[in-house]
Amino acid sequence: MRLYAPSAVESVLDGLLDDPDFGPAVVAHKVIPARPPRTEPFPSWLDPGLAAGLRVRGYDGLYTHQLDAIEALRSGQDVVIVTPTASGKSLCYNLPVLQAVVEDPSARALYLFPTKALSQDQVAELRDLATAAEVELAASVYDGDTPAPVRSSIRAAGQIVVTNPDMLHTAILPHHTKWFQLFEQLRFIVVDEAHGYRGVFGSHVANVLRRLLRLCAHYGSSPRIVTCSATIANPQQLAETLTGRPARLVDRNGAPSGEKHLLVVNPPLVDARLGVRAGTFSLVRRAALRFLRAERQTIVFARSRTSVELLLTGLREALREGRGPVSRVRGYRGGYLPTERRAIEAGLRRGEILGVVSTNALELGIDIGRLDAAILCGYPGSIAGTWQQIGRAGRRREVSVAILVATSGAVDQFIAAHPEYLFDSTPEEARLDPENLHVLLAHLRAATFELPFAETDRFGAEVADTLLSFLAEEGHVRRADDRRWYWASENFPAAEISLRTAAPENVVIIDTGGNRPRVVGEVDLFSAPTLVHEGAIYLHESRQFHVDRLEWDERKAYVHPVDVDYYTQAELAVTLKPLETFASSLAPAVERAHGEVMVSTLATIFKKLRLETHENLGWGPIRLPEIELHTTAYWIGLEGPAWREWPREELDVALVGSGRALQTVASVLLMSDPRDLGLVAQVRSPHAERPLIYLYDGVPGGVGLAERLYERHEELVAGARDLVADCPCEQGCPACTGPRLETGGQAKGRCLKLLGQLVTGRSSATVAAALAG
Amino acid sequence: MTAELAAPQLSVSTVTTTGSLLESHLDRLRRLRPAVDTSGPVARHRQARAQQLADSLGGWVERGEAGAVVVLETRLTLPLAAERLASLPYHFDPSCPLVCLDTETTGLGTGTGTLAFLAGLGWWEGDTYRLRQMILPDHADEPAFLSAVESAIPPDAWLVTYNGRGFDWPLLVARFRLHARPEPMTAGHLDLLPIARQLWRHRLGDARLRTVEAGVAGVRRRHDLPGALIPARYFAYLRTGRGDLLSEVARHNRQDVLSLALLLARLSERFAAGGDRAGAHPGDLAALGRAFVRRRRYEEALECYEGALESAARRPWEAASSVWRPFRSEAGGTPLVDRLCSDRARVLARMGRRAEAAASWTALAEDGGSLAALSWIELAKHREHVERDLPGALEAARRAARMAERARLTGRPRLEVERDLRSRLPRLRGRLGRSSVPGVRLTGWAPAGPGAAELIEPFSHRPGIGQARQPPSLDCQTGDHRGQVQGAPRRPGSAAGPANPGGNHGGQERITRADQVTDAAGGHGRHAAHPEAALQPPHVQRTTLAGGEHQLLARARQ
Repeated sequence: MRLYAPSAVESVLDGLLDDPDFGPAVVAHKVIPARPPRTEPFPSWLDPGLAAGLRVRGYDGLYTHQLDAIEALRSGQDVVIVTPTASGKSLCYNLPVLQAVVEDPSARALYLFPTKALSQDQVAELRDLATAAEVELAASVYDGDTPAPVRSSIRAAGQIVVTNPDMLHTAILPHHTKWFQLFEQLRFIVVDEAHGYRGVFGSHVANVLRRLLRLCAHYGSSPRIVTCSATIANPQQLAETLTGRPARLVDRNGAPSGEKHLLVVNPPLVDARLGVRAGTFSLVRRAALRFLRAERQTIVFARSRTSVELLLTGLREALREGRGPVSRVRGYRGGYLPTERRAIEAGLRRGEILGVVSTNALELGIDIGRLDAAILCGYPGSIAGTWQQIGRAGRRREVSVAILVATSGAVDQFIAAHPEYLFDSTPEEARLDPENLHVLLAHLRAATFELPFAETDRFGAEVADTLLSFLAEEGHVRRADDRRWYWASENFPAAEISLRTAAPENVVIIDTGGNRPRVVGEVDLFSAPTLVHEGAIYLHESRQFHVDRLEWDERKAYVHPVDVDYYTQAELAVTLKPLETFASSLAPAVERAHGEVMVSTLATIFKKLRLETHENLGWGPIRLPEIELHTTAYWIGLEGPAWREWPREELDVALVGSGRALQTVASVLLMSDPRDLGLVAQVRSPHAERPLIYLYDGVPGGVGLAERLYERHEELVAGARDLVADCPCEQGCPACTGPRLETGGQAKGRCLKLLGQLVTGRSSATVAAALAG
Repeated sequence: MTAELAAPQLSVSTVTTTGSLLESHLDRLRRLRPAVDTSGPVARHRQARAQQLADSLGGWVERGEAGAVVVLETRLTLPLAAERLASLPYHFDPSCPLVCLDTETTGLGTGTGTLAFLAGLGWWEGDTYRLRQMILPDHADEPAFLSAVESAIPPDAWLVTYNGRGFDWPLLVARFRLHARPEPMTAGHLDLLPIARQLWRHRLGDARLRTVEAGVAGVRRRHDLPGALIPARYFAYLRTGRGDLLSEVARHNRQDVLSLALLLARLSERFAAGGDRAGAHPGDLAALGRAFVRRRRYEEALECYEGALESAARRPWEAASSVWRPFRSEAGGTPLVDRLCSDRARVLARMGRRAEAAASWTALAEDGGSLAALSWIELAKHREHVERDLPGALEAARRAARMAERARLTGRPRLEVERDLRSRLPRLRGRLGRSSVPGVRLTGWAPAGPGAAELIEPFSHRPGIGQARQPPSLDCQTGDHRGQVQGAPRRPGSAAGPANPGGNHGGQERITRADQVTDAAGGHGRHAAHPEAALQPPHVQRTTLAGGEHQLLARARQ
């Protein structure tokens, strides 16, 4: 039998659906019909050279959304662009910027991308277009890797400066007098991948943009802002909150797409009584192999780094047996070295790489071209994320396929049972709160450092005078004799703010097996205890390495290559310890408090699991220090004897389920991202000796989320109860009680009971309206 | 449809902190943070504040539309022969008005939140040095402050600063830009910091102005306010309005501006053409010479080197205080006089005075000092390329090799020399012709450290093994080598003969031929082959010395 022969996507899909091991497992099959391109001719005002350059690059006209965007920008409006991956989004801003440069070479533009890789991609694309249009263009990336001599030339003459919010925050804004040419002539600000700017990070970025716009006003420029976002529920609101200005929504996608098949697959029940299902991995592998053997470019998304490596190993094994394109299947995830990643991206674009197994690292707008098939190993956790991953498959003319293979986890099973949830629901909202007082004050300090404030000056929507008086009490800010506020301290306030919560530190992984030590990869500090502890099998591009030594203080892991038939999995214990209570109140039967806590994460043991079968072969201890997060938390529980009537196992489900509902409502109330709040439910809190639900601030030191939950306690609890009660699900679902549904399917009832006991007041009108749906 | 996902958009206003809510948040934050003492007399009225500052510092207030500035002025008699400075190897035009500038700031960062609150400027009016300090009485007066600074810098002025290129001036420029004003025009900028590093750092602990002014101009500061405390003083003044808090800051700045003038005067007196170079530290003059070399002004460089050598001879204790480390890879350093002689020889060579350069190298080489090996290499170059004396060049290279070998045996390898010889020796041998270069064998450089002698010794018996064991880099191992290692000097023939038995690639024969060749080349060889020859220069070479060369060295060494 020939296993390896190029064939069309349609025939691969037919074969897959006829496969007796796969076809019956398909629980939903939706076909999105092909869309023809909707194009318009180039507008008459477009520079003929640019139009010619576009024709050279293969554009005969503009897609409707591109024309909408550039016309809106031409008329002086800000725009927010929401279209799927690879729909020619960057032309929406590159074209007006190039047009401005052609009209006036002194014009400048500032591009903000969340990551370095994206910046490099964009500059390359921009230069190609400029070359085709024969436009002299100085476009450069300005980030931490830019060498000092290049920096000064970018400051003086870079027409397009591509950077990230962090660099803008610490290197550009506080030194704006060195950048005066940029600020004086700034015509466009591009904020791409804006859906990433949510939660606390988004609140920071919004304040950085406030500072940027304030400086532009000082230098007399009034740039247009172009915001681009992946599909989310509230793109326009996101853009307007981020930038503080009205923006015109552009979402009339005119890019063509071929017919697209969406499949939801649920592994069949092996033992109906115990609810045991066949492996997700084997179904993913089965599907992926069919596409790969047919020479169809395929991306497989896995939820964890270990899964990426395990799937990759499995695929390569199978391809080797069938003499398939083994070397053309690669892994991709955080932890691969940047050069390795760039090579994989380029290989995908050129078609040299046929298949890639990736984490959500490839969800972002990194340019890898368009692929034939996307296979999702498990529900990515959000609707927006699912659509982004699915969006990786989709040729302009040919048929493409996206397959979601559910795991046996509760959320996945919910999706499998209700596939319409995926197809019909609005994707999640991106929320941020630029008025978060901690964040706002920190940036107000930085803004005062950059430029004094007059009495009536605004920062964001509000007049900053009250807040500045508050800062003056600390002595860093001073009201001078002209009634204006000046920075009056030796400190450099921008350095005191980190926009992102993730620790920038990493652990490098060094292979000592060869002639000389060689760095094979890296892992962020937080994941290091579970991925590269001593005795771990570290997988990299499906090669196995045994971790001999982890030098924690030096942030180095020493490994040597091995060939074994098992992998390791570490277990993590999260404990929360209250340190100090700032405020507490005991309403009848309900206690609530907020205060300082220590959240410790400790890797405890690791298991050795056989490849393929995942059977447990043994275990070992992990001896590493705890990772501690010192932050603030809000906690809630029943007071006094009310607990006694709860049986232990019911309580467990109720606490976790209610906690999830509280977390969901909290992120709506605080305009934050669910990731910003951590959840710990303790059936018997070692300190309070009673069951408690904690919601803690994910940022070290906290940004005041806990305190505001404490204040809005009543709305929060009532909102959570309403959320669960009004949810159309029968036994709890990912949208209300979260993933812990295994225990008997009674989550909804138990949560409602607990939340009912916790509610002391009436649900406020705001929350009721917000959650009524 | 689930509720959460269909949630309508919450408007921002529902969470906007309204007045009273904001106040209560701020109150809570107040309770959480440590109390800061911001007490003290409330800032006085703007005009009173400036006047009070002027009174307590002994200055006056200059008022303009844009605010007030406090001005202090001092006049000193400090003659400067500025025209002489033109002769220095620096980009500088002393026919322009010279304006010394030093600022005091609210921090060391160059972000826009850092402010220059005191600018000290100094310029000459005849023999009078006029030192004017401008102080910012309040943030709000900055436009007036900047105008005052601008008016004190004429557009054709040449600025003189200490690290002003990297700090003071960019910071002032940033202030002007912040106020949307063009920065003041100047004709140029002479930063004394790099000059101080070049000329004086070699004998001082560091190149901070305090160190340099003490070491070069003899300035002693008493009760000087450390620079790190200055920002805090200014903030305290702003809070309290007490002008006396700034008196030490003003004194510190006055001394800084004065020191700039003193350093300029010192440059003019001691280092410029027509100045009293004889009185300068020999190491300083050597450094000045090198600065001239960088500008390709060889005549002047030569003058400096010769002046330095004379000065070193007159004042040997000063010469001894300067030690250069020419190569990072080599331990120890080079005594100043040796370094001077070699620098001088290099300049002579660049000027085309090759014979004199060679004489200088010869003197250094035979002197056996720390630069002897390098000097042999230079001589090898000279003999090869100028004199076209290949055997002589090879001999010189061999002398260098022997010295390098000795250095390695004593545990202080001369890596630069070894690296050079690794290509030079084979090339020279190649040019001489394969058969005519005996006595030189390929082996590796013997490893240094204990046991080195044992490792080397077998090579003389069994060169084949030696070659196999060591990478085939280059060595020059003449027959007398064993003798050196074992500390028993022997005649070359007697050492090499028994050590190289007949069957050993004709070693015996080679030695003989080496002697013949070197004899033919002028008789260096036989002397050179003698272990003591490296230490005692042969008379033939002595005769080639330029007159006085040895005397110079000898005098300088006394």
